[in-house]
Amino acid sequence: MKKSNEMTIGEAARALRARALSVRELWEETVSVAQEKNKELNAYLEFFEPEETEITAAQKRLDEEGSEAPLLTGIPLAVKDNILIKGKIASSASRMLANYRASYTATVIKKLREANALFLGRTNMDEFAMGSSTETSAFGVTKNPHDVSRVPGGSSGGSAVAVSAHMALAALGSDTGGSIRQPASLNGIVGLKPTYGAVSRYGLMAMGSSLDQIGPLAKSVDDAEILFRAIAGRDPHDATSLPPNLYPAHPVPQKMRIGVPRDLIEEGVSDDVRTRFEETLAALARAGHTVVDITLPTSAYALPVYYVIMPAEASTNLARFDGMRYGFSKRGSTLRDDYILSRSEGFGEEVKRRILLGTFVLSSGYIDAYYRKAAAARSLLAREYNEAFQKVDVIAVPTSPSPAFRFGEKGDPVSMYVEDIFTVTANLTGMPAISVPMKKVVREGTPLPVGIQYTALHQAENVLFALGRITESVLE
Amino acid sequence: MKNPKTNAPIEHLATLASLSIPAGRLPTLAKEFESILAYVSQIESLSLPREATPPIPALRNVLREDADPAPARAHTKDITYAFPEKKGDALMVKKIISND
Repeated sequence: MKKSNEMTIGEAARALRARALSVRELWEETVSVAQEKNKELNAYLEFFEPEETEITAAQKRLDEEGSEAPLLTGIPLAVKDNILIKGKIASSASRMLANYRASYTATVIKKLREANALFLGRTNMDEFAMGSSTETSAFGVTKNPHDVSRVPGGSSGGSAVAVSAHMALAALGSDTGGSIRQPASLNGIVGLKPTYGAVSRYGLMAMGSSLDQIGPLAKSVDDAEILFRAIAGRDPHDATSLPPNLYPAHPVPQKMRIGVPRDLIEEGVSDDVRTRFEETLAALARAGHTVVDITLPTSAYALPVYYVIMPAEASTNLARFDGMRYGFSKRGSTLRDDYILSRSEGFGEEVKRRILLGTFVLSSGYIDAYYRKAAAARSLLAREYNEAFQKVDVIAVPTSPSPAFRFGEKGDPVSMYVEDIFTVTANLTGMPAISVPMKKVVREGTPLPVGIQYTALHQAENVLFALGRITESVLE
Repeated sequence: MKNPKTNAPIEHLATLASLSIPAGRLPTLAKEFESILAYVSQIESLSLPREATPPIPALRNVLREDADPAPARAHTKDITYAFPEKKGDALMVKKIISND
């Protein structure tokens, strides 16, 4: 039998129900491996104390309910450091919140607790989810387990590594512009950005409120679906959360029509990544699915649009950190000094850069040229996608233009931002998108994972899971 | 602002954002800012159709009724524990209005 920490959620759930494995054995083996590997990888910022009461409760539920118990009962999960669990530190990997203990619990955590899932610890991330490499964390970088000289992607790099290196069975991340899907791609796992509003944001530290979503990082598409179904749903605490059928239902077609905007991937994508992408499409075509060329002209502007809207929202959201009520605090001679000193010493460089950018695009004289134009372009982008989905069921692109890069390789901000070029569109349109592993590429003798991203219409996660499973199958 | 020749625009933005940027960091930041603005300024070349009526989104941010408030002081302890400076449940801040 596989080591329990290496199992998928589905495999562990079956072993637990067959009594081939106990909840305690699963917890202890996963914690033991995670703590050992964490010395090198730094995926976790903190391991939580053993959840004795919760372990006992999960085992009792399995014993009493057997196959009727939720699939997540007794499953150890990792949680990104920007999701609140009351009484536990949630720092967003920032000096600003290094000692902040959450005063309430996120809805996703509450839902997972109702399923008797277990929480191993909080995972490293880019500070306030601002980054694509986990290098902006105030608490050290996380290393990619496929090559420790390379980044794990970001911002949910810690969660992705925890899953990829079998330091958790699955994990929660958050995705504002690709922060689940890009690290999933770079670590060879599955990552889903749900439809905006499909999952409650209550208890998620806000970065870009119109863009943020919590979602799963998992070892398989099946696992991603299990975790997504457990956390999804309308929440009275989040006015932007969706009722179940706000958008029309999307039956899964037997044969998928896969739209490919080839003009977007002609430049800027590594040759080997493009080759893997074409091979994956060819395998899907051989399985009877149709690949259709499409054009999405406004998509070429998606990244600049995103880098206007996101910093505008982030600078507004981060205005709450002023050293008064919680978080890092430094005192000067005036109240204004208190604000400035607390913010200037509490925030890292990338966070400050984005706050300044957001302040600029919202400032008088520039708001029309930047923010309002970007907001209008965002509407046009959504319309183009909706029109494209009249001809196809999903839209496919590589998740990121290249495999994991080396630490420090992307020194200037724009080259780092370009990492998000294929992922930001789903956040701007609010549509769901999933990254599924393709076959690996080789860099300097080391095989490195890369992913394919599928986007579908709002609330059509079922279509994404179906095509994700097909992709896993045709690439086996 | 698109091509800041001095550090003054960055310093002004920092003031607006309640941040202070060390003098030694300003030239690098100004250069990075210039590069980022050049990138996002691509949206200037995007021509947008004039729409008679903006589309009404399916998802709208409808606020819930302000009902069922938590009992008084139910969360006070959870919230006030993190106050950097406090006296009991009171948040201490510097006096900003003089009696003189």
